[in-house]
Amino acid sequence: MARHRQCDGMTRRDAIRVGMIGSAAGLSLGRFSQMASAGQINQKAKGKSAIFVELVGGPSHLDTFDLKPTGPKEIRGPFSAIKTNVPGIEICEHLPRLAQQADKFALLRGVSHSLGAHPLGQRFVFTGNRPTPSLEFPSLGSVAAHELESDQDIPGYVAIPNEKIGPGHLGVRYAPLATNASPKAGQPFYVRGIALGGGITLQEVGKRQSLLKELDTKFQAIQERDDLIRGLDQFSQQAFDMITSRRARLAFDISRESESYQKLFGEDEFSQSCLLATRLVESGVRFVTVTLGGWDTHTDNFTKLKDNLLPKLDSGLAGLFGGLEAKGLLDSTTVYVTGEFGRTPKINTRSAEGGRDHYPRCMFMMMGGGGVKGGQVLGASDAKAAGPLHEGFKPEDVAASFFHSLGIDHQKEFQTSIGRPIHIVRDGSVIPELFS
Amino acid sequence: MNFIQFPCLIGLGILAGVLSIPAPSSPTSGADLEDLKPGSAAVVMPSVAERFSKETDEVPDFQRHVGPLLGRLGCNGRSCHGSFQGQGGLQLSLFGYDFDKDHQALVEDGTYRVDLEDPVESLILTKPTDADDHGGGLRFAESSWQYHLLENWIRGGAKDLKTGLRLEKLQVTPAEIQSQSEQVDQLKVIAQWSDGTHEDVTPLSRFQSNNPQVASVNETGKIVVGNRGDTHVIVFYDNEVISIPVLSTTGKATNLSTVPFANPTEIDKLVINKLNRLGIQPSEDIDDLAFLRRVSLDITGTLPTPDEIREFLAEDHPDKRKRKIEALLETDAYAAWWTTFLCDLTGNSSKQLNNVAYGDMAAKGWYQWIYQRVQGNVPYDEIVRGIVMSSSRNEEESLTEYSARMSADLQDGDASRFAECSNMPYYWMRRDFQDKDARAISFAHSFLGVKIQCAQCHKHPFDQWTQDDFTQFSRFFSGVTIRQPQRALPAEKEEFDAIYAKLEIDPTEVRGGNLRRQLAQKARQGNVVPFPELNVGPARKDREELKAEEAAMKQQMAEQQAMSQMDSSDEMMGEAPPKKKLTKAERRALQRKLQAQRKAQQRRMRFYTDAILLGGDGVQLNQLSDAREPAMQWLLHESNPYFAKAIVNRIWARYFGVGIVEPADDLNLANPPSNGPLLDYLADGFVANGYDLKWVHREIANSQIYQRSWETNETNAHDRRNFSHALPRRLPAEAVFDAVAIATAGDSKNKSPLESIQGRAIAIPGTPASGNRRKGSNSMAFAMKLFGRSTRESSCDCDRSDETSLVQSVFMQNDRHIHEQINRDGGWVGTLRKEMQGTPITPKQTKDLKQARDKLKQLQTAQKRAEKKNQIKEVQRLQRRMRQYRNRINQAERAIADAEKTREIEPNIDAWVTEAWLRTLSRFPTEEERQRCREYFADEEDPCNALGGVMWALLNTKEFIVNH
Repeated sequence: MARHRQCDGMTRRDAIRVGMIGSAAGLSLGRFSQMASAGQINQKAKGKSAIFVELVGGPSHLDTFDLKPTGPKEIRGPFSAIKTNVPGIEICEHLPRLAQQADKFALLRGVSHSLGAHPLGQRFVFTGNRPTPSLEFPSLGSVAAHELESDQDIPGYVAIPNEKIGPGHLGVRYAPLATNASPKAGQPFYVRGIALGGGITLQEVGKRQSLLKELDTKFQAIQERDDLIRGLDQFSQQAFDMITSRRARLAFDISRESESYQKLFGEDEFSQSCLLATRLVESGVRFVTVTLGGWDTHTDNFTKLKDNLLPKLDSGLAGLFGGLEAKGLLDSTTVYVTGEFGRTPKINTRSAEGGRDHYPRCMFMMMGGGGVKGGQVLGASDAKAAGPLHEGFKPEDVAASFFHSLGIDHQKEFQTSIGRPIHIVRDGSVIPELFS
Repeated sequence: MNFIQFPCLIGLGILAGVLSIPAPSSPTSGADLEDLKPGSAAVVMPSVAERFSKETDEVPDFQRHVGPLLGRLGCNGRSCHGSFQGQGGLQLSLFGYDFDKDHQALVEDGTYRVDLEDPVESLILTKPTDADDHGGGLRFAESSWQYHLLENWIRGGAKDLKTGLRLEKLQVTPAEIQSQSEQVDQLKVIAQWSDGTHEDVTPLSRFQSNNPQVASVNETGKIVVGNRGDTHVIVFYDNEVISIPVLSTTGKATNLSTVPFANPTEIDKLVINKLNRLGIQPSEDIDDLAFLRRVSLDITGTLPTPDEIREFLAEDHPDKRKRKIEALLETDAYAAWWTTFLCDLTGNSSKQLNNVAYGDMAAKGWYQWIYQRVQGNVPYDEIVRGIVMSSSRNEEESLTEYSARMSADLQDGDASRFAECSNMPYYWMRRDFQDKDARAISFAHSFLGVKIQCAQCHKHPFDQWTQDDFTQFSRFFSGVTIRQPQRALPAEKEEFDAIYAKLEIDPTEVRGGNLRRQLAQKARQGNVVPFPELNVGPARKDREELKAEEAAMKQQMAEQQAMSQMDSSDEMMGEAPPKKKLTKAERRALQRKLQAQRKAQQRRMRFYTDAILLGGDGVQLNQLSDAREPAMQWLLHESNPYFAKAIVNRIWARYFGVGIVEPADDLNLANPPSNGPLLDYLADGFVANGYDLKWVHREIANSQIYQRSWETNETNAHDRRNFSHALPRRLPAEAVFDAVAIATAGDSKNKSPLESIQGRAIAIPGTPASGNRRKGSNSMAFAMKLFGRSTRESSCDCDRSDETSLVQSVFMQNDRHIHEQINRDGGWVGTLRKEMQGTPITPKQTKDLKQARDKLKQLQTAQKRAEKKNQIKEVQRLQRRMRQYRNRINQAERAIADAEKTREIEPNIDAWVTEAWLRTLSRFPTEEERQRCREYFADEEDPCNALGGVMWALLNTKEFIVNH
């Protein structure tokens, strides 16, 4: 339909013309393009797939990847830092397995924003766009589902067990296939819709499908002309292919991994989800979101981290990086790990051992694989981990970089349903050092 | 209902005066040709292209010529200098109209954009001619009129001529284009200014076609008519937007039969009128079966049951379709479905109501409040007034009474008392509507169907709204505040303390989420707890605006003081008598006086004194205790070009899958209705009938055009905007979920889903659809997400989706919910399976039956007692309870009767197949389809399994999931 103009009333042809002029004149891509043209960074995207790990609740940066062992007592907490397999990089002592994989990821410290409520922080960080009330931005995964092609019999975008944001203005077509449950070690894993349910056999499905084909003829006359009818037809066929596809079924069956491979991961649900994520990527899924919640540690921060969260994070992420490498997928799979914000440097006294509260001004993020140069720390927080030491990174910059690693131009424009043109990431630029 | 009357000090006189100014926004189009007739007094100045094509001394005007030229050249476009970051150092206001800012940017010292000393070296001449490297390339040549125009403006001093002129009218000729063959037309645009000048501004206007395949337009306003169809060409100049309808009947001429309607309704006439002009013949009438399915889904979101279908077919009455429509409009399902619609419009979101009450009571209250009114067919204006003018407390309600009422509601978990109140305050209490801008956007979306959000940051690209219009309009919503439960109004401190004292909670100690949890718990235990509430006051500035103004005032005062000191020192130098020295006491008194004056001024400064309605003129606000009142009055004023149209258009869109204005929530000048007279008819009739929502439903559903087939003919196959045939639409999320449940339900449950909305997806109050711990609600919430139930998040009708997706198909084919629905115990197939196997009577069944009978007797006695005492409410309550028990008894008796039958049932496959078709597709199977099913049954050992397979296939047909 021709109704939707761009916001400035230009026709598409105008837009292309102006765009061409713009790029010829070298629209400011800033430092990135300068470095790229100077051959300092690898501009070609390597990531074909991505695994996005959402640490929902806001993990404490001070107690994980940005420790201040010499900081004042009221901020530093009881955890010590340990060396990693990269000289000069230290992380929390309760992440020993991950410490042995530090060469595979880059740590970003001193990432900073200003939205300290969970939903807002999540909408910001997990979309790469500061939320506005008049537009729902799509999740990173929905953008990827929109931009990356995937095979007919395998879903392009899977969320384990689900994800917070949704497809926003891109529409339900780009929503993930949510597993709605997490896999458990040593147990068969059924995914809603994918695994055959209700005691129905493959043979039966086939018979039903052929019955359906013969009954479903009402709209044949307008099938070619009507978007809705054509869409229903295509998706129906694709759904059938997927349900009956051995490949899709096997992709979710983590019990098929070798014992030695399974041993790379812990037995908790998060680790098993990470295992599943690697298997899905191997099977052709382009984007997997894995969620680990529980980071909202206002009280008893340290016990919760030490006894529960950090062991899971450690075995899950260590397994993820190790597993991707073992499968030879690390170079083609970008892993991006982040929460919605950091936590207050000052330890509060509301519980016996204290806790930490929401703190968007300073947080950590992590990215590895997909051409990202591992074994480095970018950015830094100040002495009290209360803010970035220098300029700091914005969530938008990291999102732009993430898309860059997948070969997605973050400055590409989408048209929202009201014809408003909107960049994939409105206000960020690629961090060149991640790819140098 | 009781509302504060509009204070007379503003007076309706003034308001009416304000509103009688012709709104430039009425979405009619074309020029008033009267003024352009030859011989009319006005002399039209030739266009700038003529006047400046050669050397001239004329100095152009910034607003009339220079600004529009920059727009026409694309300088202030988004990817050029209109970008918020600017481009190459120059930033212009996006899409123009901020003349001050743009002028500033051009004449800024030291930039040489405008060089008064050496005009031809000005960057605004050297850049666009590409003499100086220009990122935007060559925009005009050195000898062009554009060049001369800008050059002369600079030579004339590059003035921002504050002439105070207003564009009175923009006239475009031809006002309409109808063409039978490919044809070229040149538009001519005449601006009429407030000083009486007429000027040809064609070369300064922007043009755009809404469908270039039907009519393309180039930048000079030349239109080329193409394919058959109709569209609009839009003309922009200054802040005016004019749409020129273009209708093309090129291509094969069709022999149109005359109006193929026996007794056309008013709607039919208006639609046919347009179709005749386009040479389009509408599709055929649909049969009763198709009608029943379509109308049931559209009016009630509910699939008809086999019983309803047979009953309708059997009815022999000339007006049976009309009677069906009437009957459907009386059902609970109608009320639930259109309440969901209004909840979408107003944004009933559990997520955004998190801190507004406790638990999910705000979302439930919101739904119930609207439900009660839709069910009672309360006029739409009254519903809107109850929302727009709301505050939390009922009239004269004290803090304690309010807290007690709300606490009781929470404890009962019942929103019916809330629904009785005249107010529905939650609309303004949404967490994301806390600043006046967000409120203005939401208000415009909900009640005007206008998207003003663009104008929050820049001139609206397709409409007349400027940023100033937006900020002025948002002031009406700045007086609304939310008081959190830990704060008291100063006058109610004692009451407030008393409430907390009883609760034994100290709100200064317990805070935030913890306090809320404790309060909710206390309320559930039967205590009176404080609630957040919506307070309404005069329109006030927000902190930042106030800060900026205070700073400006301070600076001004400081400057004045410095000046006065200078003055006095001057006086000292002269021979003026020395000032009398003040005593200490006098100085203090003077200081106090000055301070008091400053304080008073600060207090006054906090409030807005005036605001401007969208497309209207100013309204005095400073005496108003509730600034929303003028906005509300304006909604209902006859000059309001949006209010009625927005709602009737949205309802229409629900019936036809496309609005008369499409998208239905985007009424703007550049998006005119496809059938203006039709929209006017519905809007006017709606108002004339007292904002009667059912009137709109009746008018639409009873029209013959609504009852036309989706099957197209040669002439209308490509029409998607003139209603010449039905457009297949995917069922809305709620209707899909409910339709599966209804189609697969056991016979007893299958009685009338029109009257049993409990547990239905059309009766979910908030969103996301969780917060409901009933069994199966998981699947419901899941399906709502997959099928795109409105997220009610972004003030856009597009928050609801009717798209298709892979995961939807996976759900329908293989989700456990679908398998369970088909095979569940008590479902249709499950019951048949049981019947085939026979069931023993359990002792529990017998016992339950006896208990239910006993209870019913008790209730009957109680009812008689209550009747005697004339306790109507109690009688009604008892009657409800009795109905429940009668149902229970009926079910139990039937179960026992079924079980008692000795059965050796042979499956009646033909009857089953018929039933399956009626349940899902609301029609009878064809012989071919029957035959195919017989084969399928023959191939299956277990007939019930086979039936399950047939049901599965039917639920997965497009015919099932599409409303057609």
